[in-house]
Amino acid sequence: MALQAALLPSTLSSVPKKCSIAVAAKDTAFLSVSQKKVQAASLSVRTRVATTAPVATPGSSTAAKDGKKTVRQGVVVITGASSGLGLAAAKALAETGKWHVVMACRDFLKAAKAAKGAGMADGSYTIMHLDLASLDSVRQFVDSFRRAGMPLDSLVCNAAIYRPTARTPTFTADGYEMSVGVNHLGHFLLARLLLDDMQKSDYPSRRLIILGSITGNTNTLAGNIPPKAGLGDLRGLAAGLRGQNGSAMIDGSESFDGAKAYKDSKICNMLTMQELHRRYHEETGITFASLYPGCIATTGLFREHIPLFRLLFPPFQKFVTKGFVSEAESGKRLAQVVSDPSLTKSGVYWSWNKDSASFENQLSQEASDPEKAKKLWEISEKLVGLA
Amino acid sequence: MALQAATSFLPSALSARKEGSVKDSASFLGVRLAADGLKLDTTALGLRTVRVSRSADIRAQTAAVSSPSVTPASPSGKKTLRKGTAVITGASSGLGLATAKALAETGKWHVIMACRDFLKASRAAKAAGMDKDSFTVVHLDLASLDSVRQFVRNVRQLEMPIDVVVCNAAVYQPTAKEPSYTADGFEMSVGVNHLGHFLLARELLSDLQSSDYPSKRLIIVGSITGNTNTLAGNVPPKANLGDLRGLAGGLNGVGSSVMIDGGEFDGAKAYKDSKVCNMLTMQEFHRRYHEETGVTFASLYPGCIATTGLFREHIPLFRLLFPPFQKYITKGYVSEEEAGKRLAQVVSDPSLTKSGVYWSWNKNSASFENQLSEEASDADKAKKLWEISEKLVGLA
Repeated sequence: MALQAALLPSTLSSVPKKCSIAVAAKDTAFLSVSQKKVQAASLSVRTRVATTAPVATPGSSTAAKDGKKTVRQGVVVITGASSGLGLAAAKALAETGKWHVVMACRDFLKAAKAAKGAGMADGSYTIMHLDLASLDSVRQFVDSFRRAGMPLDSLVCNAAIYRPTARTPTFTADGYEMSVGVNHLGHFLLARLLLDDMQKSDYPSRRLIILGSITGNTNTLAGNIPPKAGLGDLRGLAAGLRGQNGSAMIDGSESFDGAKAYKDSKICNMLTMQELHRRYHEETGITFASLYPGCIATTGLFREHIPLFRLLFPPFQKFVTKGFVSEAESGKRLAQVVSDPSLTKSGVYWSWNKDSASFENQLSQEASDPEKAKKLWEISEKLVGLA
Repeated sequence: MALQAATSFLPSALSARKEGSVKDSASFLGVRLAADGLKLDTTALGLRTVRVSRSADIRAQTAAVSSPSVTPASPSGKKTLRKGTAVITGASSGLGLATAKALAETGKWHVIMACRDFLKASRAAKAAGMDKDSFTVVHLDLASLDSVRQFVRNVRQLEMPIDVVVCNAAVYQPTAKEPSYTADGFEMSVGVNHLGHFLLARELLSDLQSSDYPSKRLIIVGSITGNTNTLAGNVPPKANLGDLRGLAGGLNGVGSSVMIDGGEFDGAKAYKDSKVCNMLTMQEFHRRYHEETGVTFASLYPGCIATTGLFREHIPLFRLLFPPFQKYITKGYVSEEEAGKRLAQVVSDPSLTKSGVYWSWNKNSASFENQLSEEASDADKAKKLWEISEKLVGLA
């Protein structure tokens, strides 16, 4: 029982295979890799199993508790699950058979094709439309999800856009600069609305995970590459991030910088995670976490960069900085943060070392500033219509 | 009252798109008066009769009046027709957007913009100057049957009645060498233009039936190029469904053809075939449901809107030369605004309530009932198409 409960997600195969022999081989390799973790986690696992609540499957109401102590299949919402890290995480979780993944994506057809392309089993996922560049769409997604009748056990705020070469800002449907509007404000509203659903969940380990990025942390080398992130006094955000008669940058700077806007939005994500932890962890028992899975140089996040960058960046990261991580590995790491019983500590910014072991990383001074987090929270509430 | 009743015969003239522009009410009224005069001159008796019956219809419906998203109140002394709700697919650009704008501008309609790119639709509505309360964007991707079903559930949760459905969205891949496929594995042109709309229309028919609106309509946009009884329809490649062999095989390119007739893939022909399907579907709806439900089923060809994004996948030279060719050579060119106005007519004009009609417009912008080609009128083929399509979208 302890062993079963502690199982880690399966190692991702690079090519989807439906052969049972391959599956068996995968399980064997998996067991040997995870043996150490199983031993370390066994005590807490045993304790946790004893508190299991009544079981329900996605889409069906809670049944009467029977003698078995089986944890039901969990439901996780992953934003931006149609490519890159989000897709790899969705695949990793779905493959275990223990999770039903709601892929919240703005391009429905792309998501459907990606899930099929990744070999995800039909019953293991549901695609729902979500466009974080529109607050109306966020609200419609929440209504639609609630009507689907599934519990909500984990939420992964993964979606992001990055416009490194943009000279002028673009804006969301609600008039906010796109990077901060999508990466922070859309997720802020989504997380706040779905927190209710997570509180009602009977799942033993509920988690809200917001993707961070090392480049938002100015206590690292990567974070010191210009342009550096800096929220200043949040003047631009308070003015609504509108280009006309105001700044499109959070710090109120007059000149727009697409790369800095992205980094700023990531600081917002990490500040938001910590503020959620301070306000809600003790009260709700929900775990709030952020993570940096490594530099996934092959994803579509860089699609708007110049071709030369996209050509040189993967080998640079692989051989020079050695920060490169494959999409499959990063998906596995994110899936760990979603489901690993040893990673239930709240308020943590998780990272991984070269041996693929997780550790609690330190955030920069600005990204740890509780006053700034509180101010960000209050301004964001106003901007998304929650205050 | 007479003037007010006459007003409902024509949608408002579309102004040029300007933010905050003030409409010249004098010339606007002048246009209406002229139009009214013309109508009286040409069909005085008919018009008078229509007006009387329309008034009777309105009176009969007043008791059940409600506004969008508000539950019906007790009938008051006023005989006001409530605001209608129209679902328009592909409303983020071109004809769909122009129609949404035309309807919203009247103040008599709330438009549900059913679009696959939510942000694009939101921006387009703002740029067109549509009043914020006159529309709601709801996501719909016709390339996924799951998305269609989710759309239906989402639109029902808005708690608005549904009075008109306009199946306008289309994809056109004229230069594609290889087919692309929907989420469900169908060839894209037929999957989006026909099958997605077929499922949507079937699902929303029950909502139309339960509407209390006096004139409920289901409109499927056609295309003259699907009609081989016209010059345009004879430009190769010509539309032809054959015996529907490919459709029956699932259009998935695996062990069967991606073309409805089982032939080799041709992006332009796939589009034309899908339009024949649209027109056959409209007629089959009419035969099966008009008498039973009172819903009006119609199709139309608004003219060649050479400026829309439908041609975005064509070569740049075509996109450059096609508008002047249509304007000066074939004289079939129509502006997006005019096309939107025409489609809005089919949505709301009391004189266009006849069901089973393929509407077209002449050079003086007067509507007339156009003839469909032999294949597009084939009742047996329509029935067969219906039955195969039911299976493909999971209704049978």
